[in-house]
Amino acid sequence: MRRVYKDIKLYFLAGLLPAAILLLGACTDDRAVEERERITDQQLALLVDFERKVTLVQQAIKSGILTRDSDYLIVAANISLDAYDLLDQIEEIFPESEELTSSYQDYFSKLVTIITLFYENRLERGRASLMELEESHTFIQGKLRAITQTATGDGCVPCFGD
Amino acid sequence: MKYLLSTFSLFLMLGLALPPAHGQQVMRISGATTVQPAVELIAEQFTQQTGQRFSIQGGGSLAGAHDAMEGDSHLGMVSRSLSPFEKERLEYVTLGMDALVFIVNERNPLNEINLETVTALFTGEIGNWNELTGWDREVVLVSKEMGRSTLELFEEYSGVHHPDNPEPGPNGRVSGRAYEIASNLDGITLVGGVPGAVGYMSLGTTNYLRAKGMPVKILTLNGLTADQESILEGRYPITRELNLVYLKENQELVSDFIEYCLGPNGQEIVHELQYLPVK
Repeated sequence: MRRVYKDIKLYFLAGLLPAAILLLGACTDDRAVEERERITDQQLALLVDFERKVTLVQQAIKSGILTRDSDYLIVAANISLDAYDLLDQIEEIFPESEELTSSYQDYFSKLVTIITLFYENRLERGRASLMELEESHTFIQGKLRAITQTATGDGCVPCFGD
Repeated sequence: MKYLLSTFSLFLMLGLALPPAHGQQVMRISGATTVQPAVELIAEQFTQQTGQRFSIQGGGSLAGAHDAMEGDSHLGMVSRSLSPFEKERLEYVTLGMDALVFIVNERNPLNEINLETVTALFTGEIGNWNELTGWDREVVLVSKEMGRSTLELFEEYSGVHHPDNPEPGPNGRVSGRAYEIASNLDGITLVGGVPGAVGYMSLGTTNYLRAKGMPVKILTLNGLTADQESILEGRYPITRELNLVYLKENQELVSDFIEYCLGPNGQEIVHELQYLPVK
């Protein structure tokens, strides 16, 4: 009788051990998935923050042009530095963001050039520069979408100019 | 009736109290964007006191001298000494003095510069700040478009000419990678917003924007700081006059305004904008 009981205990333990291992493995997998998702969210947040800075810098320069108040240009320069800080982080995380810094630099320089074109009523060149600026902005948005798609696998984050 | 009379009296009183319009003509002023902020502020005060209206716009020193000569503007703003030809054709007054300074973003660890480094940077020979400071960041050049006296001063000092200058510079040409801007305002904002940027700008405009929080810093040039002492003593190597120019036939229209510019209120504004007043 005692032997039967011992066998049952052994069988029970033998069944429990693989179950425990499986359960532990599943938990570890879940934690790893969570960790990956958490990092990806942080990475995506950088891209969204950067896109927000790109828009804010444009708004500040446009306000500076309309009001002729240099305070807005100071705001724009400081936002731009924040954008560079984000770019430094983005470049470290996303290898495919290689051209993003130079694209942003071109965008910011075009934006700044427009100030005097409008102050000096050089409207024809001002209009041409505005079109170039728009192209530049669209390129940055496209680049950010591409980076997001690569990072998420499906590009499902609804942001960037939507 | 009593109400009507009171209203009429009020209008009459207001009419008498308002300063008489200083002629009907709008005074047109154009030229150097370095001089423009000072002239705009002085004109604003002058309008409040006299009723004279103004139309003021930039375009650069060359445009300022040209517009004044052609009669397109009553006053031209020129941020450099006049050429013998311009002196022959135009009357002029000097409002103040300014210097050309080299500026970098405030994050740049560099604090001083010399002619050799200026040449190496602007010709594109040095492409990364780590060649000078250990700071790994691409050099971003900010230069001026043709027709700007700030560019002429830079060319004269550095011997590095604009790519479109018909004469090649003795020390080469500005790199094709340089961003080209029109005014000091554009240039200082660009240097302020790009960590690796370097440019040459007006001392007055730079100091004015720095005081308000623009993230740029002025480099000492050959060990010299661009301050009042070094500029007035002629030790700082790149200084310039801030001039207003006009045709003699426009003297009557512009004389009161010029007098105001050179008076205590006008010179106070010149000083507030960090230029060196002449009086």
